[in-house]
Amino acid sequence: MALKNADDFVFLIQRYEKRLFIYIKRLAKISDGDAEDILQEVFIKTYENLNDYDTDLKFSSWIYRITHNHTISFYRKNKKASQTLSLEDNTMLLEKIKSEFNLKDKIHNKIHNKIQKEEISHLLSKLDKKYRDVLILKYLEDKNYREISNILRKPMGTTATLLNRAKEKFREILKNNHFKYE
Amino acid sequence: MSKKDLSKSVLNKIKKEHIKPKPKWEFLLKNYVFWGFFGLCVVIGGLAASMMIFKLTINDWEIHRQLGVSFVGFFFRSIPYFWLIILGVFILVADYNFKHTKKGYKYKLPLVVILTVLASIILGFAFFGAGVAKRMDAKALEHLPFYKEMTLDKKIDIWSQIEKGLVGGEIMKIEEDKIELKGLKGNILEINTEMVPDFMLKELEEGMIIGGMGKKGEKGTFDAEKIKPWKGNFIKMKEN
Repeated sequence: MALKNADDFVFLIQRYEKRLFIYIKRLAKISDGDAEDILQEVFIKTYENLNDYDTDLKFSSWIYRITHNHTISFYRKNKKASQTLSLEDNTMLLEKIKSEFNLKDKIHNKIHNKIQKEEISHLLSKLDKKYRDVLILKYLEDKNYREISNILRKPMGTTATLLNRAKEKFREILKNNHFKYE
Repeated sequence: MSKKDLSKSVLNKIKKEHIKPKPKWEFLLKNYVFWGFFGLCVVIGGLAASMMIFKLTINDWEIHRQLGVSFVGFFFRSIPYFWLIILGVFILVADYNFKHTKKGYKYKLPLVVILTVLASIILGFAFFGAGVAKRMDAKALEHLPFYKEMTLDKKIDIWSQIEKGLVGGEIMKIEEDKIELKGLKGNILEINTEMVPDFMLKELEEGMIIGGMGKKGEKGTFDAEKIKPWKGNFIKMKEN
């Protein structure tokens, strides 16, 4: 791989740093400083493991996998709380899954209200981490099933099941909290 | 940290600490190690499966009536649990190793388990056919006292229940209508063979270990109805 030259590796860092930084922040409730430290370690690890890259995978799936694993291990080591998504992310997530959840328009309108958004954000944080992770990858990082499967190192079928369960759980939480959907 | 800062700090760290990409062989080796352990575990699982097949083929299925238990009850008592546990453990270890190969995560665990079990069973039949299980059983009886206690000693106890119509031992002398038998626990017995079908008697010879089914007779005799050569390996008791 041409990127083995450290100077060329800079292009790769520049290409991925912003989205991986956002991804890290979506996964764990950590400060910007911690997220930057993780990101730096992710790139070092990526560089060290360049020869392990499987060309059958998309490079982005591979670097997302490293980022995911590194963030989770940081998260566990430092016993950080699971992230409550930002209002922006929350709105984006809801926009994207709106059609699948068949949220009634008036309810949809309601969630544009700041208080409602905060409430939904809080509800999302109630989801199990494994469900939140898969929702984040699908709806916020725009990854398809194959990419999610490669990032989380889970079979495609399991990924699909996990995503369906995540949606079901979220639907349940919405219902229990009086958000109506059809 | 700005774009420039991060790239710069990563680059500085790489250069300062002389970080280099790890060689490809390290990753290949790691992957081969997982494949190697996977293969080894399947082979060990195959050996355990061959032992199970061997144990089931040498089991005395016809004696459940003498023991007063149903066939189903006897079947569950006859399952070689020791080898079943060994098989189960090695299948789990095999699957763990498979999951850690480079592309192992792409396959669902139940599918991997089923395929590993099938591979172990097929190998088990191959090992059994090649006589590996019989030799392994003989070695284990010779060198593992706990294994002997769990298997052969238990079988000896079963075939030493003259009251229940079961005797076993070594043929000392074959005479017309009777056999002199040195019982499995060292006692000398006279076996009346009048009722035993000829085809069974033709198989017998002096020095052979046998199992007989019938009824307890008078004065230490036994009226046999069936006599068969001992199934499986046998280790003679040491003379005092």
